[in-house]
Amino acid sequence: MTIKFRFVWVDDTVERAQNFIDGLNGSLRKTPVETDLEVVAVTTTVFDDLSQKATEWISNPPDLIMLDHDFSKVANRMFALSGSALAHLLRIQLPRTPIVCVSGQQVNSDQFNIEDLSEYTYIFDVNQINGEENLERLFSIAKDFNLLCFPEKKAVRQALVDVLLPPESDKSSLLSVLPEEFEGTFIHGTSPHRMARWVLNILMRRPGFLCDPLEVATFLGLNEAAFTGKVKQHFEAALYKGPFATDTKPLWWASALTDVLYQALPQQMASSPSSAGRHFAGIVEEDFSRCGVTNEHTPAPDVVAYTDSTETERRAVRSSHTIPLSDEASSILGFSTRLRIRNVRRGASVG
Amino acid sequence: MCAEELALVKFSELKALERKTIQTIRTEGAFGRLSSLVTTAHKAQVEPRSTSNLDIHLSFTLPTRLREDKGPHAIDRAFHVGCIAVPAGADEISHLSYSVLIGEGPDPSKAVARKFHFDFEPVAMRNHAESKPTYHLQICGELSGHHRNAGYTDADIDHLLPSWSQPRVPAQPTSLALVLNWLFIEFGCEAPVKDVRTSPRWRSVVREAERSVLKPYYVACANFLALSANDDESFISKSIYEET
Repeated sequence: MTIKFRFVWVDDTVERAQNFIDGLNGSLRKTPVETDLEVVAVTTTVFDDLSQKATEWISNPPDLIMLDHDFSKVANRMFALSGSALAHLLRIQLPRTPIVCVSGQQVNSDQFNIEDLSEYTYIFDVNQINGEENLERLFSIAKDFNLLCFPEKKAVRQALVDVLLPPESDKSSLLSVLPEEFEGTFIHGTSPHRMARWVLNILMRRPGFLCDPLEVATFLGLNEAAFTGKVKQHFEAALYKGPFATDTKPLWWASALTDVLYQALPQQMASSPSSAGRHFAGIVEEDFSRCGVTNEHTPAPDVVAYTDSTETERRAVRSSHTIPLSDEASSILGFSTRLRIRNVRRGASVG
Repeated sequence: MCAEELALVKFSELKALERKTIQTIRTEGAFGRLSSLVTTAHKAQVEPRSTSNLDIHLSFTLPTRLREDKGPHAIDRAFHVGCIAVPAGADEISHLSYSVLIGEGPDPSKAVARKFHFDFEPVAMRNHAESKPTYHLQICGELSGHHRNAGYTDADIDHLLPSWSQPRVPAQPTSLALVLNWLFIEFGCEAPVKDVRTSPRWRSVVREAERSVLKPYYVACANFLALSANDDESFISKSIYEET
């Protein structure tokens, strides 16, 4: 079986988009994917062109729309039009179609402001879009966005929690931390987009409910390679299988890890997870996680922290060596504060 | 070692500590996954300018995994942590008690498994005919109004012999953050609890409580043991029990 998608790419540099006409193929959760790509050029007549297209798409919407953000190559752009403004206009007519950004600009560059960011369901670096992980993410958005289009009159918060397929113990916590903007029963036109953004950019990115391989490995007292190579298969029951789940960037429900761990190793029930995890068959001392500051494996590192404020590299460390990622780092209820390793040389005390 | 040396923080300082603890539970991200604790913290009132008794009660569940539990799944158990502080004189504390009740299950339909409290009874405020440690742990004790409101009855604790007031086990001073953090350590193998413990804000609150509450106590104890006082007087009787 092959999944076939129809994507639209809107860009003022059509050659760039055309390069991907045969390049957006790959797989989603082990199923092959083929994509037909329609390229729409942004020109001085962009409003008329897209208005006409959108009218056509209402009856036969594409599975996903990809937008460039910067249209500076177009002369005399009304309102200095950008991709985010187009996303807003398109979403009014196509609320059930995910709209993602494909831009060469860095998300934290001056090209994006906070309003821009909120208009895109997800933002891809166009230079890395054909990487396996990004392609599967793209396909997951195209495939799963509809899961968040709930019937009218349905209680949206409960429906969202249900579709995430969380462990029973997480349901009430998830209900209580969902953003207030997700209405009780009425579905606003942009609800699927806003819920998708929350799932992709908060639930799946912030430490808390879901863990990536490094976080799971650290929880189990192992390094990431040992978890991925020797232990991961035991944790299938804890795997996140909700919207936008991918094989290339798997996530696990944090609250389900211990159940799986002690089911697999019942004789270790009295041990902490980081001690018990080191008793899986085939695990040797080289597989133990080591603190990114002291390089010691005992006591086991208990958190994952960035090495510095650039957020490029993370390591397992003892929590006593960490501080919040930044003074401005926001705290979102339900999600742990992101950490970075304290500057040891300066000897600053942990905050 | 005189009584003043064992005295706890000032009443206003204690209230500031407990208020910060409650605020941290309400707002620190990691606590959001212990939603019943956040909910109960929102109901707790600690008025900074009030000079009336401090009366906090936190009723919540934690996912727990005891060595003795059958089966591989974590079990939600009810926890009730209370704090009563009675002010006296110029910002002093005449009585301070932190109570802990742990249910066998998540609600009062299950038996009370453990009930105890940590008391501070300053030497100047207590009956000298009865020896007791200034800071002590006491097993069981009567149900509070909060416990009764939560659905517990006397029958639920009869097996713990609540009328017995002894023994009183010497203990270190404590605070809301220190009691909660201790419970998180004791019952903390589940990821949501572990994440709370390792969050920088919570660690900061715990360390502040340790500095305010534990440090003066241990400094006083260490001083007593280091000085010649211990040559003539027993640390336990003179310092811990503050016997005259």
